[in-house]
Amino acid sequence: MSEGARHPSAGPALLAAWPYARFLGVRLEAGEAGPIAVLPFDPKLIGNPILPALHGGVVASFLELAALARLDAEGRRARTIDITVDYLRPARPVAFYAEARILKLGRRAANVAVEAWQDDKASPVAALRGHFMILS
Amino acid sequence: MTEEPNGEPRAAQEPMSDIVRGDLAARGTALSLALGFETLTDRACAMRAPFRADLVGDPAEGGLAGGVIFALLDQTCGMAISHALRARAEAEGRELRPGGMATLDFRLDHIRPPRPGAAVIGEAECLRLTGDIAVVRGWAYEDAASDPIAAAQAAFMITNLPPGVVAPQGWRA
Repeated sequence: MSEGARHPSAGPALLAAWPYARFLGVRLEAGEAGPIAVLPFDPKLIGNPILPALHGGVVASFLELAALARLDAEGRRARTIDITVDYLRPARPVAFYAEARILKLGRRAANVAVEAWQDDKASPVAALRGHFMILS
Repeated sequence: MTEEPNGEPRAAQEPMSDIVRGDLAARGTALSLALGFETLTDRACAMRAPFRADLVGDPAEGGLAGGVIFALLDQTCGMAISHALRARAEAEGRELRPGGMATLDFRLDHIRPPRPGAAVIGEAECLRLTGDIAVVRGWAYEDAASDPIAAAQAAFMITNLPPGVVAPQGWRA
């Protein structure tokens, strides 16, 4: 699968190398159209225990990591310039999936869109749009 | 004045951080506890994310991950809205309704990477509270707000508790 092929110089996969990604438990799975980021549920991810719902910061962190991992899979090391997260539905205490699309990959910056869902891919729970500085 | 779980009356102008210390314990906001966030009582709505090696983003840079700063500012923006809701209820001379808030959108601009090994402070203020929508901004820094790491701009919807959900004793938005 050339889509997910890693550049020889990319070093260890981002989700394994970033301590915070390991803290959250984010990993990649192969999807039909490319890699899919997965965040298994863990009680420490709760932001609102009454509903209960995942913390907004967890949702954003997961989507940002999905975008960075997507660039990493293209062999690009990147730093976040800005991200905007739209919260579409409550993030329930179950597994979370995200698919990132690179809308533009330039020499200095990339624009990436991420959609995330839980049970039903057709009902996204959150979406991210962001700019990322290409470091190498 | 609103009545807090411990029965002490509190004024709306009192630092939110003092109130939220109790709220956090009551809510058990698991993520903020897991990340080790500490409330700061010398400012209205502020929290500190202590540096921890397991919360680093890019190991080549060594600072707290952008997602940690996002979570910190999401939390302090929520504090700022709670603060504004209390002030509004007090101004209207009514009880604070139990409920919550839902983030509609949240933009975070990373101005520069956080310094390796440094704790990060997040602060927020509510710019406008209309009927059901709150507009907030937040900012993050290590030592001085004049040297920011990141800036946030967000809109939240104020929600009532869903039918059938019972707020625990002392719950406040």
